[in-house]
Amino acid sequence: MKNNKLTKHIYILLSVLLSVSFCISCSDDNDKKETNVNLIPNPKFDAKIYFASKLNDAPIATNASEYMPLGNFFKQANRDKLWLGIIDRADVTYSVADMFNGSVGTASQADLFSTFAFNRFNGNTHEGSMLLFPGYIKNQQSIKITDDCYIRAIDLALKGYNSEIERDVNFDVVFRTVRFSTNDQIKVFSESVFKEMKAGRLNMLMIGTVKKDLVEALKTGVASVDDDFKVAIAEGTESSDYNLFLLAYEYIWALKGTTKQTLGNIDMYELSLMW
Amino acid sequence: MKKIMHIIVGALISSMLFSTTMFAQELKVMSYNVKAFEGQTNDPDLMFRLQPFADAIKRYNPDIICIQELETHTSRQGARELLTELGSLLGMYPLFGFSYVKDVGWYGNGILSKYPIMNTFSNLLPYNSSRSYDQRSYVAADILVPATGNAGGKIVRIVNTHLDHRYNSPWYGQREEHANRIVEDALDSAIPTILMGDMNEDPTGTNSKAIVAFSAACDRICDNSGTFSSSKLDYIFGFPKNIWTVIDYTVDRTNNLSDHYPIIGTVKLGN
Repeated sequence: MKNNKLTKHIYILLSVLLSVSFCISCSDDNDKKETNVNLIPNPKFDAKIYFASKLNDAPIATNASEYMPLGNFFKQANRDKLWLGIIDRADVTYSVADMFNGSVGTASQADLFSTFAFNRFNGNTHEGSMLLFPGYIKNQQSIKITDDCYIRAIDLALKGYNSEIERDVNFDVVFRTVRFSTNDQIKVFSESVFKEMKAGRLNMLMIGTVKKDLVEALKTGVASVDDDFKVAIAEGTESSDYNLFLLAYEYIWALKGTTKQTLGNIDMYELSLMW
Repeated sequence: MKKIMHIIVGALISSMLFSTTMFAQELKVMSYNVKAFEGQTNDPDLMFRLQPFADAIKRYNPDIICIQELETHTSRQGARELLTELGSLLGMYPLFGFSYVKDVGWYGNGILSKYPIMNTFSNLLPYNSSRSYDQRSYVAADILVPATGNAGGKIVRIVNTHLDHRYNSPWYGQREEHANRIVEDALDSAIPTILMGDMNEDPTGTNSKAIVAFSAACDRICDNSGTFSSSKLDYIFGFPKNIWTVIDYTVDRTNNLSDHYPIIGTVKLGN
């Protein structure tokens, strides 16, 4: 009996995940009626995301030598089947004569592809995060919240593991990242962008940073639109100037745990996801 | 009344889109078929060395570069990600556009940008086994360029492609088909666009159907001087028509790192 229930859960989960790209928007009432309350993230599934950050309002590094430990880390992680790494505030300094783009240097050192999740122009600086991954991507989108805040959405192949059957589990996801630093950004996100984004709810996977004193505003804003979506703060980041968060449909994705190591003067968070 | 309002709003948006006060900055673009960074000597010790390419590119300091014949991650290259490596040497954001699997890596086109790449898409072009030598593709990137009077910047689209290289029938028919597909899929009249690439067609030939197709939709931002020895194969186009002003254009014939010369144009929106 227990195995039949388990098999049923696996079947539903796989069917749902395989069909996420064809989800269409439903009314809130229909969403709630269709929710399978027995569908919850299972700790036997695990996928790692590496997030490098100082969790403050400054660039993560300002010269090549500060980026070097990240390059060494991601080079090894690439050998260990990394599917996604993020370097927070990998700001780029632009000048006509010369450009400093340290995180592209990190990607090059690790033989990874990359894309810059832009947030805003700040004088001659591009503020944003660098996403690193092992294969090329076909499509990506920047969804504007305000002139100084964008969500980056990219199609990626998630690499996970099922510890129960000791097997790799890989499937396509739409990964999103954002940085919230003002209440106005959260207001615009909650009141318009999120309403549209959550329509693809089963594939709604967003990891980003939010200013510590805006965490409750983000949680409230998301819940006011649809309380089946949860904002979870990664352990160990709650007291920093910026918190690391997961925003996802609570019946599909959850954070299993967070560990931290220090590389030079940069913290590397290993986020374990379950689904 | 509603229709009149739509017309007024549309006109306002169009004028804002193409207003020179919103994009006073010049944009320097380069198109470069790099022959997989093999170099010209077939000396294995000199192949896939990117610093000479970076040094040659830096002489012109382009804002955006379209690269063709881009091979990456193959075993003969030591599984290196070469576009990212070149981007790192130049401080530019890289984007790879896939055409086909090659060895343990990939082959395709690339874009490097000094400005943030915001949206991207790439598509394979129709492949006919009886007419196609290689699988061809195009890659497109919407790039956010800082603009005077617009704190959020302005989107300029860059489209990069490399068309089939053979000249006799039916190959030029496929180039025309591919050019029409790119015009239909990648060019959006609401987005100022620069289309670049190795089109493998002489503009004066009777079978230059891809160039005819591109020229019907776009303005030329290049002359007819040779880019592959004396043959003219590499192009820069501006889309839509009549919105781009050409400041200058040149072919760098001092650069013999590849079998193509890089071409460089400086443009700005409006008069």
